[in-house]
Amino acid sequence: MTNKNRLRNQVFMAVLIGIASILHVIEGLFPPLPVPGAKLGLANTATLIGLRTLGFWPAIGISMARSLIGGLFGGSLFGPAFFMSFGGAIMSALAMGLISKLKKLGTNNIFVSVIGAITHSITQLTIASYLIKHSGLLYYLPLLLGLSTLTGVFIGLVCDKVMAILPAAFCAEQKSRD
Amino acid sequence: MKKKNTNVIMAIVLIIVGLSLLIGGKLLLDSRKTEERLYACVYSLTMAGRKLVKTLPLQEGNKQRYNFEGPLGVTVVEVDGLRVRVLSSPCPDQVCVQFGWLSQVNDFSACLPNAMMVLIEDGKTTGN
Repeated sequence: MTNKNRLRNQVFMAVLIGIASILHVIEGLFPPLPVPGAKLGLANTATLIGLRTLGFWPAIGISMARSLIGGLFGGSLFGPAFFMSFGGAIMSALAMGLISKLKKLGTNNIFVSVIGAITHSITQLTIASYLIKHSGLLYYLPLLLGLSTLTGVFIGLVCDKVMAILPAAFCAEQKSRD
Repeated sequence: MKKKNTNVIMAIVLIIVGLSLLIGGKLLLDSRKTEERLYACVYSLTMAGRKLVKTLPLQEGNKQRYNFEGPLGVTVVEVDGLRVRVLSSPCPDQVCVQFGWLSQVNDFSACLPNAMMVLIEDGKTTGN
């Protein structure tokens, strides 16, 4: 990789982290979905775009950075809610990274984003069950999975739209790497 | 063009799956009605586990508010006949308030910032 590309990628990653952090905070202001604590997962768009344009590790870095910065903004840093968001963000980035290595389905933004959303909600439910030491939470699993599938489809569509207008140079990068 | 088609099919299939899960999940939640006397158990949450603070019986005509002290401040729990809710909480995200009224076994409302949980239990499991 030339120096110029490297600089460009670093700048792009920084921009994605900034966007993700802001989305993370803004999302908290939205009116709540029917299931308490459920969110759209807007910040996941930045992770997915990072995954497509920069690769596996940068995407994980973006998701870690945005939960740290988002937690700092939201005032929940290192509280229990922070660990739920941090764990969910990392696990969903990992799952999306692995799934996107699949030959056919892996190239589909909608599929990858749904996998990410589902992993996110399962991780969060697991952490929450651990924190409140009660398994009654699992009653909400089907409801949560349904909701995250729907939001995942939405986020995947958003990613498709964003990728379509990204400068061609970034998408070319991805192709040459595969 | 081909990519567009797969996208549409993928989206439709996944939306159907998602909707059916939503409906299934709702039915599962609604299938828990019992005639038994229920209790709203208020727990304080610590890293070591949860500790029963108070048991509030849910019965007709019982309307009362209770204050519980947590690390951030006072959480107000309101009992109204056969249902209970977290009326107000000092936490920033207010998820516990958004849970709304609880009336079935295993319904719960948890507030992680203020380390507080309200859980509905029947006579058998109360306090476990």
